Amino acid sequence: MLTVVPSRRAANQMIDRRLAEHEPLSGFGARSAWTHDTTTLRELTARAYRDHPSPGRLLQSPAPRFLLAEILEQLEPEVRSLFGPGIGLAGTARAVEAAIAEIRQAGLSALDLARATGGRRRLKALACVLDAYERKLTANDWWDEADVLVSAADRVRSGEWAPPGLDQLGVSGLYDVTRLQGRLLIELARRAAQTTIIVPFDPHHERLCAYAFPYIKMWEGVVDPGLAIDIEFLDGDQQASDLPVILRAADPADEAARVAEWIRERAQSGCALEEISVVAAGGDRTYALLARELDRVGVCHHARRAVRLAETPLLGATLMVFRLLDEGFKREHLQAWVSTALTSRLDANLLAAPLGTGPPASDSPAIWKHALAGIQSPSAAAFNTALDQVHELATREHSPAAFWRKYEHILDVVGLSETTVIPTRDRDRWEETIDQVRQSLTMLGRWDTSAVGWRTHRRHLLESLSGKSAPIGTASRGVAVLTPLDARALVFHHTAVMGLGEGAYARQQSATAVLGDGEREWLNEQIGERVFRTATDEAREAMLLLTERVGVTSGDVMLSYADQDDDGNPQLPAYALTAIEDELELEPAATSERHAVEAWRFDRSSELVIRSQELERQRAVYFAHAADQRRGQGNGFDGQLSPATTAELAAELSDGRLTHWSASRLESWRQCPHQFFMRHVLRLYELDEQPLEAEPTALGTVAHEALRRLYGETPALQKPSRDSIAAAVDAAGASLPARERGDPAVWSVLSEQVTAVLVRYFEYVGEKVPTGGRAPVAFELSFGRPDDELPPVLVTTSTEPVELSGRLDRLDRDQFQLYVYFLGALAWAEAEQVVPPPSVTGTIHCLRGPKALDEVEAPNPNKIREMIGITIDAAVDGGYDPSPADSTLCKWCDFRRACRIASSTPTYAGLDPTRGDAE
Amino acid sequence: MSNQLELSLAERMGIEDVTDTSIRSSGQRELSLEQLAVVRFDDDLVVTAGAGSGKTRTLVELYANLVESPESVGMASDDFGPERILCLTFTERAAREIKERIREVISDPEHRRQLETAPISTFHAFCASVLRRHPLEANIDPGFSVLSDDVAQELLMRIAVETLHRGVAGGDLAARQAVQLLGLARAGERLVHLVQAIRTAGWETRQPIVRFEEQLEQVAAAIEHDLPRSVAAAVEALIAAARDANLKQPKARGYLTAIEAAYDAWSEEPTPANEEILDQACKAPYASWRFEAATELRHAARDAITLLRGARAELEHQAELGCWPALAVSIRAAYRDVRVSRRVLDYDDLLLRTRDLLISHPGVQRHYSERFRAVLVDEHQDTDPVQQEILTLLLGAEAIADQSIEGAPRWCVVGDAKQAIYGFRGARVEAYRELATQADQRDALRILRSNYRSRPELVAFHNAFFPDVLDPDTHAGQAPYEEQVAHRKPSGEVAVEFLRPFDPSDNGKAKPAVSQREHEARALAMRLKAACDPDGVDTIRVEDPANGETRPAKPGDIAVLLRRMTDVEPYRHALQVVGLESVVVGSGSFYGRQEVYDCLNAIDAALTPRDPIPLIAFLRSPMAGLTDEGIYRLARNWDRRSGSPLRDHVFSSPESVLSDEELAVIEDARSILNELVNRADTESPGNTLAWLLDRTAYTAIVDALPDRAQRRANLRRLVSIADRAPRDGTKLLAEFAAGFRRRTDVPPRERDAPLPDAGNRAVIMSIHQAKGLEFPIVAVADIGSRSRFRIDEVAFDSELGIVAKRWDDALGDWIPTLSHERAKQHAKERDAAEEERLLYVASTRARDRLILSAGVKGNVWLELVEAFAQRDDPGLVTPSQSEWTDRFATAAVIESELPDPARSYLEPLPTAPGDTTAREVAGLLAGLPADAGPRASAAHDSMRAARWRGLIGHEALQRVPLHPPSDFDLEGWLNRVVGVDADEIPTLAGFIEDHVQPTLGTAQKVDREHPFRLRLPDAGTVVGTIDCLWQGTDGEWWIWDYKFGGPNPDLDAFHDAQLAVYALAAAAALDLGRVSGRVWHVDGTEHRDL
Ligand code: SF4
Repeated sequence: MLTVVPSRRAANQMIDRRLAEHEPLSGFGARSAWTHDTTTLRELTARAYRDHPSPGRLLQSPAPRFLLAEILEQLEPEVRSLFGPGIGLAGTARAVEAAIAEIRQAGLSALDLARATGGRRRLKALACVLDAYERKLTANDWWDEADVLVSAADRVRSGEWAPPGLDQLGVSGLYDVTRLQGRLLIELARRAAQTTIIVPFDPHHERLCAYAFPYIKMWEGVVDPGLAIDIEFLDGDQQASDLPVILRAADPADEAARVAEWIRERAQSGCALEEISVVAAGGDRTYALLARELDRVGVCHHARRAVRLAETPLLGATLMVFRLLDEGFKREHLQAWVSTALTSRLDANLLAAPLGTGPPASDSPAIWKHALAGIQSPSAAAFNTALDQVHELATREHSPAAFWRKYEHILDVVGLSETTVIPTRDRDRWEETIDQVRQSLTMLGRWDTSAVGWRTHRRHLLESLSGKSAPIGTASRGVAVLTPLDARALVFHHTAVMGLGEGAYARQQSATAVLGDGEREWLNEQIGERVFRTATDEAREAMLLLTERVGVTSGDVMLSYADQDDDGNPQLPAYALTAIEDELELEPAATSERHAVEAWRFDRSSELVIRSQELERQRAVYFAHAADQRRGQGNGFDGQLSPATTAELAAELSDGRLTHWSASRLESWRQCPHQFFMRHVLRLYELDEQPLEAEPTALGTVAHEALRRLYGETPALQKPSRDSIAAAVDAAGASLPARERGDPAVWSVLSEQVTAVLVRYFEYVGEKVPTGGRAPVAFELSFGRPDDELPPVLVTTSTEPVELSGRLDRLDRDQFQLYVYFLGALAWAEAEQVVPPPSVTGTIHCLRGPKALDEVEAPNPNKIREMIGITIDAAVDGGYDPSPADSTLCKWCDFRRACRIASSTPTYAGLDPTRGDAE
Repeated sequence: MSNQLELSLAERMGIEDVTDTSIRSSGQRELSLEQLAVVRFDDDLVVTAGAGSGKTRTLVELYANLVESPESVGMASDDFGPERILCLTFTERAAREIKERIREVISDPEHRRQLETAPISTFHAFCASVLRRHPLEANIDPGFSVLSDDVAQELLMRIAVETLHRGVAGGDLAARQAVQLLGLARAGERLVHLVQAIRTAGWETRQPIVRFEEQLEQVAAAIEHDLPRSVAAAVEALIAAARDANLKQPKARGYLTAIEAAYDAWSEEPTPANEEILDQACKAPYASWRFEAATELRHAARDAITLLRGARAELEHQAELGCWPALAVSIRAAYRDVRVSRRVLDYDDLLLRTRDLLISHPGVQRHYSERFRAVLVDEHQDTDPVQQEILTLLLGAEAIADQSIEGAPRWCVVGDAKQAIYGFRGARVEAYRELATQADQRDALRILRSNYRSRPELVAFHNAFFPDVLDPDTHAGQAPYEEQVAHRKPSGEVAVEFLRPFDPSDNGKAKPAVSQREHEARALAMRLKAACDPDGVDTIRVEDPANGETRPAKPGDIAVLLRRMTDVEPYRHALQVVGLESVVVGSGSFYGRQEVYDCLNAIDAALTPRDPIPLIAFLRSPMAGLTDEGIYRLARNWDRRSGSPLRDHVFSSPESVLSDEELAVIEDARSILNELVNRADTESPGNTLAWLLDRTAYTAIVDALPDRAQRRANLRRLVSIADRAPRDGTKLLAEFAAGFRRRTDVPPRERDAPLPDAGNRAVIMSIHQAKGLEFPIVAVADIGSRSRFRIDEVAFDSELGIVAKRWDDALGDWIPTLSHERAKQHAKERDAAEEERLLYVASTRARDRLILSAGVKGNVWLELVEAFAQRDDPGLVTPSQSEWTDRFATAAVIESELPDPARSYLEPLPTAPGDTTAREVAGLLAGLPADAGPRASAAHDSMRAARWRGLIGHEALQRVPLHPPSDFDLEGWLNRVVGVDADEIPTLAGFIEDHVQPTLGTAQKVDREHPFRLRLPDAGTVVGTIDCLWQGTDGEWWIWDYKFGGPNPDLDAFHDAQLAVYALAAAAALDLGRVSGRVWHVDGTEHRDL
């Protein structure tokens, strides 16, 4: 007896059921079965092909796609224009392939199609492509799936071939065969002594089964009195299950959590996991979410088509080679490549930091070698080799054989092929893909010949990858998560159908991009049969599939959908769901409460969790007080320290052990005590990475340095030439570490900017500053530090006097004129508050911005001393305002990400300083 | 409804009984007369629907009527299903609501089925469906995916910076200039805004450059004619007024003389130098001019001069100014290239590509305009130019202008110019207004005046307040207010409250905006808290929307509306402090949230081990839970100069530094980081993040915090963003983290965010987001804050194109240009008008109570409300200063209850046995590790070659004819049919000819490639495939297994085990006593028997 079922999984279920019923046959108590006689159409045709004495060579995927891509490239311009300008794009071949396959499966030849175009552009164009395709096939004696089917049917008819066990034929669970498949089935039926067709639904239910009627008609059309064909229908009242439950979840994540919980409950009440299934109508996203939730509740599960292969991290790491070729050797990509565990021979600890010193982008790998020059390790060597080889791939054309050999070698070098890190199964998927490329190109005669650029190779790979999915879990172990189509003909005790939002059942048919519903309707009319599926058919099939699930499930059924999609857009239930709701007169579901997901698992101890909760809550309550209320609570610079530590900190601060005070530190304190805490108490620093563009502070340093040089050469300088300013700026720039300058090209522009600022400055000095003998005596003059000649300034505080150190930008002799330069346009307000040391007049020169050239009176030195004293006193006794003076500071603060003030307090968290409030 | 209106409506509709405010439509549902006038759809209609006027209901009825009885609206009934009615909305939410309600009213099952795929959607979704159907015509990849807005913006930003960088490196002048003026990052940001605005306006790629050149011509012409004339007119007016004022003061007279002289000189010789002199002369200090019109006239004169000088500057420096359009064009092109190569579209693409498709392919355009028999558009006032163009293309331009076109779809456009608040996004209300005017002329404008939403007292307030606010005389083109008719029952209670800032700590000095806002927020929070206290004096009673009963308010009834979400924190915080839980909808600060930072920090701490900041951040976050005290001691103990990273120090800290508890935390933190490193990229970023949350119990910790709902929602959103990251091109965790960090640095523009499931919590949202919603109590907060109008130095104007100020190096400042000044005028005008409409939209969200609250002082809204409050009977209450102080000014911190943190652990369920492969079983039997075996090292070249040989070789051996005809060319067959490599053929052919064909050719039975399922008692099912099973003439059964790549003694045990499993399977299936087995090493033609 030969039984044809829709899927291998269904076949296996059937076999297992049979095995379970029979006595063991062999001595070990084992039961075994050949699986040949319970088979799928696909397997059947594969066997027919294998048994063919002289078949044409089979074009296996993705060979037809490659072939069609070639054909599309060579099309006449008129035909191309029939398709539209998008015909040259990479993904088109796939859509055309799908359409051609559908047309051929419908048994139509190019000629048939050409006769049926009815003036439709796309059909005309497809007819041309099909014609070229058929010619290629004939000329090379190649076969595609359709040819195999045709030959199988012919050989069955002529008696040349028959699958074993064909005395009796059973066809079960099918209803949507293509025309060619239908022909093969009919031929098989003609050879069988007895044929039983089991149609999995109640035919009296017109609305539900409309989609399947052509199939039934097909069998009914085989009017041959000599044939014994029985058609059996599943009767309508076989429903053993209770009424289905409808779940309306808040969003997809919530839905997944609730479905997982539902399954767990069933499993806990004793149902074997294999007897439970989930049909995920909503596609991959539903799988991913459900898989995660099932893992959380500890339910073993498996899905055959769970994640798109092209979206897995393995492919991300593997395809990085192409990204480097495409986008240049970007630091960010290289760092990601190095830091993923998948590249097992690249040591992130060793390589990531030095990579940071390289430029953000570069076109060749040379620079990276340079950056890693100091590291002697196999890891760095491997990295360098890999980059060289990647570069080599781009520099010349390769045959596919050579290209992929090199490509794989690169993967070897970086350790991307080591199965200790990468699950074998994922690795196999990758190899399978490459093998398919190889097989297809070999067939087409392109594997060893025709050197082409890397983009073509990438295209081959992507074409071969597209549409491929990777499985989750081990087949048949645990709960089965199925697509609606895969679920066909399978029987489970409990079933949840999830993702039943609008459009859930719409199949992603790539063919519709070229063979749209309009064309389909038209062709169906021409043929006089509903051969080409339209959106309406899909909707009808959805109902059929859903009804089948509800019908065949003997235990509980849950149907669910989410009220909102991932983006929070509202969703309606699928019509199939509402139709069932109406039919079974179910109560319309209200949105359910969000599932209270258990909060954690794994081995974190509850003491630790409770500690964290309390800590975080304390912080929240503390920050719930406004800044002025928080003042004086004795906290250590707004880290929440114990009173003892706070006192210790204060003592260190007052006796100078913690830090020596300088103008800039005072400023830092004044701006934000917490920043001060991070930088000067915890001594944190930002990891240096070479920026593309130098930071404003670097520009400031250069301006200072250039001024020092200029005045250093000519103290009484009034108006140096632009050239000499530029030279000074260049020299100042050169004295800056290369990393701080950023990209050289960008730097050269920015240094021009500094030059322009200084030119303007000297204009001002020339015009406005009283001339006559102001001569600078010192630049960048440092005082008060151990190596400085100048002593510190003593400032009295309520406890001990504090020594203040600092650095002066410029000091003039005659009037003891002190200059402070500011480069930023924003600096004006800050400039007014700057604290120059006493006994001189201060002048602040803002080098940029409309107010740039004004002077301010320096405040009274005694006042300043007093101010400093108060500030330090406040720091010591905790009476300071523990928040940044200005919320814009947070935006640029190095410690923003580690700061819990900025993210906890109302004032600083939500403000977007870039958009500056007008008030 | 006013009597007169009723009469005219009734007259138009031929209805006599005007007292009946509701009549039955063709179905069984009640409609008012004005709604019926729409539902009848007797012409192409423009409907003006004021707030709360039952607009959606009317649309739904119109739709249902079209489907159910098309003949009643004069259309043929054949084939008039939902598929043929296009209904476009502005938001997904609106689309769903309409669809849901249509589902409720339509009864025919076929129609309901069709509704599922019916085009009731946003413009964007509709366009996406058009492009999916016609990708080749639209020149886009059929497998395209759509980038989320955040990701698209980040991508564009990166491309802008890269383009500038490449330009600078390649010596491109435009790029150099832009970078020199603004720096790389800022120039990039500016250009991103330009490109976005240009695309929203629907401009062709090169149009900015073309427009720039045209604009220069116009500037040149203006310098010749208009501008000098207006300078002359303005200065003359000033002089005349000054003379009339008969100035006495010598100083003032001096100024006048100076102006007269400067003006004469300039009139003689209108040179830039003379302009400067004239300008200086007009600049004279105000105090000296004591006559009334002086200020305005002086400003007018100076403005005119500025324009003229700006025009000169523009012409003179055109090369410099031209860098902006040039760069915008090249960045746009580069962005497009990247999208093409990644096969993605962004949201703007959906519209632009559809428009282009409809223009370039008349066939496609015809298809749609024939398919749709009716087109309904909701919220038309918010359409942008591209959407408007698409609409025109669908309807046919002539059909809009002329109703008599045969076969054109019937259309109905619903909108309200008063609610046009998306100008900043590029929406143009003018299109709607134009349609309305045209419709009015042909008697096809319908106005829905009823208000079913607000209490009559509130409607009365609107009717009194808004006519002055929305005044076409103040702002040209402002939509006038149409009086509304209330339909709900009056309650007799106060409808509107006005909370003014009385700050008890006010000492007369201006306080910073931040603290004023905090102060207001606290007061507002107290007010709202009191409103929800059923026993208090300040309780507010509302009508329950569900059952129409009056009851005291609950927190869930409240919406706090803000103009800008950037100011949300004080309000959120204040509500939290008084113990009113709230949910912030779509806050722009998502990227600045603590929980988001915590997750990113953990990833960075794991992946960039040398960086101390993420490590400290992670340790002090609740993910690890180290106290600041612990952190302090750790860091103080660390010698930074030693060069060893902080991480090493932290994880090897001596016990003396830390307490036992802290050591436990550190140990846990270390293992979290290690696990994270090991896990990174074994799964997708989303899974890793979800795992991290579980591993650290972060969600449980968040549960202990005051605004847990919001935090949980943020975490869900974060995971969902990570889940979709692979689709956007970031598959590795490190890449995801980097991209996300960039977004936290430059947060993407605010977009329409979903309404979370707020439960019984107050919602805080922007006015824009509240559009289309209603709440029992609406508090419009911060009405005093000023409009944030500003125009960048480089900006886009939909008429003038890219306009820029010019940087003057000598002056160190930006100087205006004519185009920029004009653009500024346009923008200011539009902004001011839109501000007023925003207040309208905000106020009309309320059903029962409207609270207007002010903190910061400085906006026209506040002035308007204050002026209104001065009226005799304004209908709003304003607490006095003392009331204010008593009731609202002090807010105590109310600490939220800490939920019980103890949760049960989850026990993983036992895994169930399932299918095992024969290979696995063999491995087990042979004692090899799970994934050992011959393929473990397949990556190496030689192994890979062997693998390939195996693949092809197996195929050959399965398929080769066992009884070949005499002329069978084996080598040719191997090469041609199977595709065996040439150098492999001899070995394989030899093996076949020597062993396969002779032996199997004479066998009794042969079955090649034989799959089986073997069920072992209590051990599940083993599956596998036997290469060849045959029975010799002697009756003995054999199993052959082919191996390629030569014998390998290490694997012998494995092969034996494999054969044993096969033998068992075969024996069990066929009930055989004995089966022999042989492993063939095809390459060496050796074998090994079992
Ligand atoms: S982020 Fe803001 S609050 Fe935090 S340390 Fe930096 S400046 Fe201070």
